[in-house]
Amino acid sequence: MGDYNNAIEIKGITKHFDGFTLDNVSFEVAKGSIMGYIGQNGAGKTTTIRSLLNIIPIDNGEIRLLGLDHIKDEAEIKQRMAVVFDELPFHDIFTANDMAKIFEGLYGQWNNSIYKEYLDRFQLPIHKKIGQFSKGMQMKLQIACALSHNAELLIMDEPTTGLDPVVRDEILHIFMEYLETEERSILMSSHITSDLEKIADCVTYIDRGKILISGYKDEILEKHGVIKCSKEELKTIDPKDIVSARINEFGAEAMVYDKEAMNYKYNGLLIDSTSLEEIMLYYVNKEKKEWS
Amino acid sequence: MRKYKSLLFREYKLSRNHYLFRLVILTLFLGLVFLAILLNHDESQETKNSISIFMSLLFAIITGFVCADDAGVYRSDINAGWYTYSYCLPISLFEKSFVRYFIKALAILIGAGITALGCQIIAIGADAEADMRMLFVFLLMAEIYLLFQIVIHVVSLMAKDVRKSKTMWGIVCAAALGIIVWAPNLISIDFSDVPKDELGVALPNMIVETAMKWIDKIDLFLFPLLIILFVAGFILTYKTYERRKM
Repeated sequence: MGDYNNAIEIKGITKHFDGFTLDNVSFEVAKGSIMGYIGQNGAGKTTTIRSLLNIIPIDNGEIRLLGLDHIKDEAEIKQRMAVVFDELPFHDIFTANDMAKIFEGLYGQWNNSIYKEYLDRFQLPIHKKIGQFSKGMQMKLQIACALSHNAELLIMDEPTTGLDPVVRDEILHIFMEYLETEERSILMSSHITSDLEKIADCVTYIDRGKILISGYKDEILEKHGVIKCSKEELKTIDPKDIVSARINEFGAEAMVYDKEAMNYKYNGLLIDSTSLEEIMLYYVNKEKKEWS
Repeated sequence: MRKYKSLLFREYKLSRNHYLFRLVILTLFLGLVFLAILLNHDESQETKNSISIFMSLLFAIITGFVCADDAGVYRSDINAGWYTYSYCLPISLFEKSFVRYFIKALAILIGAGITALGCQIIAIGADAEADMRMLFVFLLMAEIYLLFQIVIHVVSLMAKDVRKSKTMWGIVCAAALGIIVWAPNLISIDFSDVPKDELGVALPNMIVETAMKWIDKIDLFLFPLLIILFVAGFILTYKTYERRKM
């Protein structure tokens, strides 16, 4: 285990593609925490993760994983981390037993007993071909492989997409258990905000390649609120105080940056608590200011 | 060593059925040849010798191509998602490329053994002497296939986009066609003096004679050439893995 404060440090990473740019993305994942990386489809979550993993090279910026340079110390980092993708990247002809034989040679800290425990817990057959597994079983297998070599850092790209609520809950529970030792950290990208509300310590929003907001989840939820008012009342609110406002035929709903301050400033108006999903919706429409 | 053992286990499991299928094909071919020889057991020894050596030549050519093939592991890795995922694993580019070429070398070594055995079986059936120069034929065919794979690597490395890739492939195909059209000029078989009713026996002999004449000229170069092709293929495979996902 290394001596570092942040499991992931990203500073100003930029990557240009035709029609899309990852623009000056910066955030940190503190050791022992779960960071939820939220964004719509095509926002840049997978591109960011692939940049972290050095699958795609960045044009500018700095990336440090486990306190080490992500290119110079790539070999050491990869021994100490695990990755879970949204689709199972194992060949259909292999069995869970075959995967153990492959991974035990790759990782110095691979633990077959822990792997078998996860297989039992997930009720995964050892000798059945992976091609015959359901999507939920495939994801559980990938997770079992990721959690069986004492990885300090888990990077997951939409691991719960396409899974039913029961399986998602089971998997999220496993992740929280995994983090009971404070030496471990998780970066999990998702557009299923309810999953991240359950387990994330911090969240970072990305939209169209840019970071909209990043911070502690509880703080973000505490600070933001939604004012429900009429269209006339909306006109009385300072545009600088709101993220954006949703207008419909009955009235308006405006998200404010600072719920407590707005309670004093606009004491006639009702400000409700919000959710990560709502925050995502309002921030995505921030440039428009008013939307429906 | 543990890492290589794991990676080789993976390659073996993925390519096992491919090579087994080819072994079955070669066995069937040998069986058919043996049957052909048995059906002609009344023929003169000269005829049986001709059949034996011609079939051995064919067997060596087929085995050469079949053993140099890479079992489609690279393509299936891409389709499964393992190609991208492997960049998240503690596997170096050298290790990936080494394992690929180790299996290839093993396949070619086993192929040489199969060629030698096959030629012996054919010769025994025909009551003839096996011509072990067929091993050089096998080697030449394997090297032609390796060269073809190297060309594929070069094209995929040089082509940065689909349009450039299509242009390069067009050039490669035109060059290959040119070689195929020009190549018969190297083989000067004059069978104008051979009576038509003797052509069936004489032609295979002439083909074998011409092929062996060429093999005798280049046999010393085949082993060094194999090493060069392996090194070049290894470097290009390494470069292909190094390029990652752009």
